[in-house]
Amino acid sequence: MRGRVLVVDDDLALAEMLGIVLRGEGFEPSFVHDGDKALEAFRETRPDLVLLDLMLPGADGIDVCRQIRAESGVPIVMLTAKSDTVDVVLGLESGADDYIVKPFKPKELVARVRARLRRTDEPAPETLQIGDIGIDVAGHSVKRGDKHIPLTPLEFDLLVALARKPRQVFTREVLLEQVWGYRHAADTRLVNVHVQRLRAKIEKDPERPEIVVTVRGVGYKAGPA
Amino acid sequence: MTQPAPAAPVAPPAAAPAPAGRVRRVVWWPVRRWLGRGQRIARRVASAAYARWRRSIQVRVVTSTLFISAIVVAILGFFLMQQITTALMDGKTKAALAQLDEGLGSLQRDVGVSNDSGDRLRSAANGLKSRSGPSGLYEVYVRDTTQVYIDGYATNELRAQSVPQRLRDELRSGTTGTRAYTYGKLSYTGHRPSERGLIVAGKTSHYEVYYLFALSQEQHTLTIVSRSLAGVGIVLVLLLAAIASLVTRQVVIPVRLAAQGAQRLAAGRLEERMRVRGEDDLARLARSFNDMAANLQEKIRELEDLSQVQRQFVSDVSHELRTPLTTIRIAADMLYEHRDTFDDPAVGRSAELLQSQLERFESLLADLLEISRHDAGAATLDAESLDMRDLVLRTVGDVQGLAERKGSKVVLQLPGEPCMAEVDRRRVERILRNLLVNAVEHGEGEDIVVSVAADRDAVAVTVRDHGVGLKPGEGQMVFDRFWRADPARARTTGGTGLGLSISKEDAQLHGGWLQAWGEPSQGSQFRLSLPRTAGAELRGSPLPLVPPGAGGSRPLFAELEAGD
Amino acid sequence: MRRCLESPARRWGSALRGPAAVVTAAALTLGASGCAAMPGGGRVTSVKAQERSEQADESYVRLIPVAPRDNWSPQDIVSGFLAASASFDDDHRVAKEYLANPNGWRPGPRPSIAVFADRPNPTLTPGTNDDQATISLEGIQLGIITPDGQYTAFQKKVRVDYQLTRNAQHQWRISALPDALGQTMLLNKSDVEQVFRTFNLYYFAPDKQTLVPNGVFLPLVNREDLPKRLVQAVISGPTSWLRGAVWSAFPRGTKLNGLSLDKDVATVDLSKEAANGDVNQMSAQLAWSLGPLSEIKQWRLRIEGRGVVTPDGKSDVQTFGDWQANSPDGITVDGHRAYTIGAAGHLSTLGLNNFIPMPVVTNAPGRMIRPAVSPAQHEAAGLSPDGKQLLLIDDITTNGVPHVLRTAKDPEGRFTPPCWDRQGTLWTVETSPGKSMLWKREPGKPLKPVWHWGLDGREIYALQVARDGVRVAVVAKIDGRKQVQLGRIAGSGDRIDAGSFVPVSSELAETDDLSWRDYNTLAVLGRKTLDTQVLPYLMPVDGSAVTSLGVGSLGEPVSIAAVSGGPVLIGTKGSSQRLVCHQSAFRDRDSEWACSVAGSDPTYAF
Repeated sequence: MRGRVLVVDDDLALAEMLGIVLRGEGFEPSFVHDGDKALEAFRETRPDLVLLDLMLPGADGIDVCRQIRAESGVPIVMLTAKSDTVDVVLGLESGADDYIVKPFKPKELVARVRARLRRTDEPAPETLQIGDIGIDVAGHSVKRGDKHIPLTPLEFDLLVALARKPRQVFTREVLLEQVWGYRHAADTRLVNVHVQRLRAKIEKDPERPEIVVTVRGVGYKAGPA
Repeated sequence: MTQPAPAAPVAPPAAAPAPAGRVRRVVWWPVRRWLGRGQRIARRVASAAYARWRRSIQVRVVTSTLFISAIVVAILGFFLMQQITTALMDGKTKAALAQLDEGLGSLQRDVGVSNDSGDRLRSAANGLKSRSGPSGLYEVYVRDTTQVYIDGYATNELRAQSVPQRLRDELRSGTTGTRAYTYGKLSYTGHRPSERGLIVAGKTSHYEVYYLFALSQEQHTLTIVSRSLAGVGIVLVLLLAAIASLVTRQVVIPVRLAAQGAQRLAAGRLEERMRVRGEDDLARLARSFNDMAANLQEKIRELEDLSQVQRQFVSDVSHELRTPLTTIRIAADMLYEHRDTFDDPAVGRSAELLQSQLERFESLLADLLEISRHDAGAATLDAESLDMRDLVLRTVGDVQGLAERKGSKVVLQLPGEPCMAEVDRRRVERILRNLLVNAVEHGEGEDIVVSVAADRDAVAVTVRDHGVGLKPGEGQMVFDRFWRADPARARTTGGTGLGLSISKEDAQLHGGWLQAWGEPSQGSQFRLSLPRTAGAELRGSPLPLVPPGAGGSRPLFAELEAGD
Repeated sequence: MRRCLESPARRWGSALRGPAAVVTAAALTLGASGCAAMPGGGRVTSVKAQERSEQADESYVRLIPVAPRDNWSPQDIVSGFLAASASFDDDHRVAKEYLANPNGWRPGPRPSIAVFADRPNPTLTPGTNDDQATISLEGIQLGIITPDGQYTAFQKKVRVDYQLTRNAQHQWRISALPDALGQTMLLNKSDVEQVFRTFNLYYFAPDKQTLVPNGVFLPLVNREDLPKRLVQAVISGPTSWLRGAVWSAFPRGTKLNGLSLDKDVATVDLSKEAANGDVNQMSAQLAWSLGPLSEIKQWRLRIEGRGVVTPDGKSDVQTFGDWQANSPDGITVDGHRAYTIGAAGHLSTLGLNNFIPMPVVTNAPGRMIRPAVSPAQHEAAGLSPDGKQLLLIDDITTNGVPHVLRTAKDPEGRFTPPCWDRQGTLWTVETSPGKSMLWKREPGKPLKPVWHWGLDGREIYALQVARDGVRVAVVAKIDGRKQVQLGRIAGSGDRIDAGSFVPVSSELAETDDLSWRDYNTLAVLGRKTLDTQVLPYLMPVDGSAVTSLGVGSLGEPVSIAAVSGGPVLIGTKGSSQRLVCHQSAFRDRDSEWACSVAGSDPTYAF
């Protein structure tokens, strides 16, 4: 499997090192070192995944993330030196699918990248229905009635994971494992932020969710309570 | 997983005499309660008054003024009364003596040296008396010393006993023209009450004339005067107290304002200032206070800025280090993975060392960052309701491998029911991990006992090891940054020396306690106590800090409470 | 420092601290002491005249006795005892010390008194041994005061013996009081005058409307007890003198439970027997009897079992004024009418404003002298000019002619000027030297002699029945002296007893004529000594001092007429004509006599 990975990082040494690692794992990396040029590079290269450093000269990583997300649902994994909640949540809310805190092990990085690219490997023709939302798994589309709802792949995965077993309650850890591919329990904020984003898109009233429902003290489930 | 032994439900022997005492208490109950309440109230009032006295200059000054002025007024009043009484009595005596002279003259005129003195004396007494007019100012007692069978004649209800014997003796021994006076009690026949009186007496040939003046009018005057004096005195004293109160108030209020200002300043409200009014001493006090506050504020701001800069610097440094570290890390990984391909075994070993020390460096950096976050007050609590048992189980699971390597067994004592508490999972897990790793590291291969308990308000976890323990005073030092029990000891597990420090900060962030107990060769015990609801005040812990059965001697522990 | 002085607060503070404080204090002290001085000027404050609160509280003098001394002889003991008897303090405590058996002698608050002229000298009777002695006293007894307070003159020479023994301390004590005296106490005149006071008790005349004063002697032991004693005396009934002649409203057995005084309001608390009595009449008696006591201005009457009782139409707190209707002087509704014999000999009215006689009976002038007009002012009685005939005009309003009622039997006989009483009964005495007879004529009945006349052996010169109709004052010749005597009329119907005559005063040597001024006072014509002129005097019947009336020349007064609240009229015989005199201002006792009206024998028609 070859995937094009766009590495947006101002640190040349790290970028080169990441390049070595990714190439070693069979990916096809390309690099951009300036935030201002990141969108341009993205449009040129059309990568399958973006590795984005949060701290960039020029346009901030957050801004870059928003710009890319505005154009595409491509998986974005953020690299950050700050593990503080505020920074992470900010990054996730701006559209990143996952994040990885520096310093990280090369294997960890590769695992995340793989996890984000894995979906494309297993198409399964299937349609699901939660409430008034219809999901075409193979067609990778979500509709309310005839209205198409654009979702990022991650959001789609999340919705599908929940929708496949309606009324079953998923803990955040289970979701992390199924959707993000974490073996160990990791940061559950990831789940929280993405559920919020998902709700913002598919719920009629995000304040009173009907499709992705919170089960207090446990996690989430699909379908009406 | 054993339950901690609860207190045996057997009544202690001391409870045996309780019924008897109780019966007695029932009998005496109302009286005792009444007395007790009275005493309590009295004590409370007294202590409140004493506290007022001690704490308020105004109260002290007013009390002293009241006391001193009352004494002064009392003394003045006493002397004044004395003076008035003397003056009044002098006047009365003078008038009485004049009356006596007149009476003696008329007696001499009327009676002369007549033989039949009985009737004449009688009419003379009547004449003398009737001269006093309708107001009945005095009574008269007339004696004819030549009379054997009649003592004398008295007017109206006057009794002869009203004339004191000493006055009679005085007259008897005196010559004609002798005059004397004394004070005595005038008594009367019938129901008329006796009263105090002035008795003047004179002697002419063989007659003795006594004029007895009732002093009720004077007594009345004196009573009125003394009452007015008392009234004026009380008003004066109260007025003085009020003035003292007013004057001290003028002084004390600015002082109190200054004290309030200082308190607010101490509480961190650095912008607090006193109002400056006028140009007197108090205004100067206010100005000085304000100057001081301004200086203080400036200094504190400087210090704050400095520390902010410093912390920012540490944070930035940590972050800046991360990016190159990531590169190094990845590079080292590459090297480590390919260490077998190196020809020189020394280079391979080097790659291995690089790898391991990089890990240590990484965790050190993470800890430093965490510490700097706490220092900056940037640490936030991400609380959710969790079962402490789950957290303990998960952490123990993480550490199990390490413990096995060190030959220690982790024994769990968990309660049967859930121990829910609002905690930050990440932080509590970090605390538990730190405690467990610490216990494993110093456990000397002995068993490590982890206990969990909960009561209404709090949950607690203790981690007990049976290692070298702690020396006296070390119970507190364990939480110092980079503190090590034995600097000479080899660092096997390679802890950063910041773990317990961070754990303590984390515990305090929850409003909880992290405390250590230890004795040399007895091992040590760490106790984490957290309130069930985040931010609630912790009053006690469901688990003892000193493990039962240990520490027969003086327990060495440090109670480190949140906010210390 | 200059800045400091600019601040007012600071200046004030420093003033209190510095030497200025001393100056301030001194100024304040001077100011204060200036205020304390007596006022030397100021406005005039008028002071209301004080009520005569204690004016009537006439002060009195008490004798203070001595207890028996050691080594006193029996004479001393008896003398001391006699002196100590005059001290009523504490129930004669001191006097009892002279007795061997103090409890055997109980004089009580109202003892009977034998009044001696002087304090007699004790003499030791022979036959005295070391342990026993007899002391005898000789003296002149003037009279006796009975326990009910009635003084009866009864002059005689008395000799009494006291037995004495020695007691355990070898001191003489009186073991037996004289048998002749019994419980009677022996006091001399001056002692009695000192201890006793006369009070009028009031009882009802037979008409049960008019009160009659009954003068009694009460010992004044203690001024505070006086109201109580007085009420007790009233309740206990009239003295023997008036007994049978008057009537008391207090039922038999009534006792005084107590008398309390709150300010000037007294509460008279009577025992339950009083419940049967007439509240109005009892109240009237109490009112008049307590009237002279200045300390009582108002009172309540409380009867055991009935609480405070209220007289008809009055408030429960009574005043003296409530009972003026029961005055012994009676009530005169339309003023007094005076009559006189005019210059022409007609019976005339005499206007009390202008003093001009207006004839009413013009028939037979000069036939009648000494007229007396009945209360109804229809009849007029009088004497013939020689006094031997009692005349009567049946109706003066129709100009009647006098006709003879009776002519004196005795050649020397004559009639006293007639008088009418309240009921319209005519009284006169037919008298001749050494004997007399009282005649009475009830309205519309013939003239009859009374059943008993106490002065039948005396020559009578005047007789006037008091307005209460019970008491009667006469001028009788006793012991060769024309003196005023006071008696009373008791009984009813045919059994009229006019007697119990007692002398009123011994101050006048001789009295010619009399008339009742008011219930307590007689206006008399008399002289102090036999060689002085006949003058008008006021003679209180309670024995107090006689006072002269008016000043100025009167000529030779022959008749007197008086009334309560009117001028005293005197008929005089001048050198040329007869005149009627009156005082220029009769309310002033000392005002001058004016003799301008030609006429004679003035009289008041009741």
